[in-house]
Amino acid sequence: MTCGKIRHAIQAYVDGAATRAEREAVDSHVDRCAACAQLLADSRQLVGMLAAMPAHRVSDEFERNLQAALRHTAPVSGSAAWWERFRLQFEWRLRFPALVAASSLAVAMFAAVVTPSYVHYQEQVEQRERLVYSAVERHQQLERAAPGANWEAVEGSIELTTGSVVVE
Amino acid sequence: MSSTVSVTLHNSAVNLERTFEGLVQEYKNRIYGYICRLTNDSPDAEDITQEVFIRAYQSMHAFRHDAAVDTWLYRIATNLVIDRFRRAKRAPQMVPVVADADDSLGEIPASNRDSDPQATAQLFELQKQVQKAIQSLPTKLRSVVVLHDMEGLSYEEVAQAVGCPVGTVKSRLFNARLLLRRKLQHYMEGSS
Repeated sequence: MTCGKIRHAIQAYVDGAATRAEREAVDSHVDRCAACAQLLADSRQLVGMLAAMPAHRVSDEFERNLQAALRHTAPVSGSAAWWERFRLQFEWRLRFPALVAASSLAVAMFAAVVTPSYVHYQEQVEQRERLVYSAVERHQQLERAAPGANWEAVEGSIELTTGSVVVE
Repeated sequence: MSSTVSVTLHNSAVNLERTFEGLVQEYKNRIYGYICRLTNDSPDAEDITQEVFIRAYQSMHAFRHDAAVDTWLYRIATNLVIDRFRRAKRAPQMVPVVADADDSLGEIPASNRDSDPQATAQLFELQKQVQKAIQSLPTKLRSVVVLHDMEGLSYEEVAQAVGCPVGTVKSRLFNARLLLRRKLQHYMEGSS
């Protein structure tokens, strides 16, 4: 094995995860390679130093504080967990409430300006249609009452406000 | 290697409370130590540890019984710390306070301090340098070397805890140790 391969095998060797073949290869290699032998010694020493680092301990208040925090916390049910995953997935949307509010405001303002004008226009169109329909209906009534009459002799006017036809 | 977990997780309310208390007792210091090493002894380390157990409590129903409890807790801790790092990157940077020598003497057993002050001072200096070297590692390398070499997890357990393939764990461990050996070369040669 080359030094490059042995260096990776040394890691498994130090961690106790090397195969028998790897162990034999490392043992054989370090017997004749001073650099890899040094690497093996340094690796062992480093792992020993790391393992010997002092442990950390939480403060005495840790459990009391945790219990206080848990008083307001319930285990999340399956459905709630589903909702939580959903919420996290779309968290970016929740991070922009201002954007949502601004969009809503813009839509509301647009509607407030445009809607009354549109409604007024619609009412005018409908009123005009009603007037024309009413005038035509009245004309048909007169035609039925006096068939063949000379309409040129009839003077009348159409009251646009009511749609009724007045015959004088 | 990680210890065999004696507690089993159940969903009934009474068992949940009892199990959770045992879980906190058994793992609070290990999780706290891991978070301290990942966050360079951040003053928030205990708060993050508390958050880990709150998250664990909330999601105990979702715990997969085929996974080790400690691996599961380490995974929650890793995700929380990474999340904090990401938020901190967006927030104004805070200069970490490096602990003064006297601040950490309490970590060395009293018997050592009393018996040989010179050896104690050397040991303390070595530990300080090791801690500095670990803190200088990128987070991805640091989490792997802390979990494997300091917390005693296997390659497979580390892979589960940090959420990456075993091959990546080995590679990160290799690179982390390489950097640590370089940084600690002086102390290693001095002590060998």
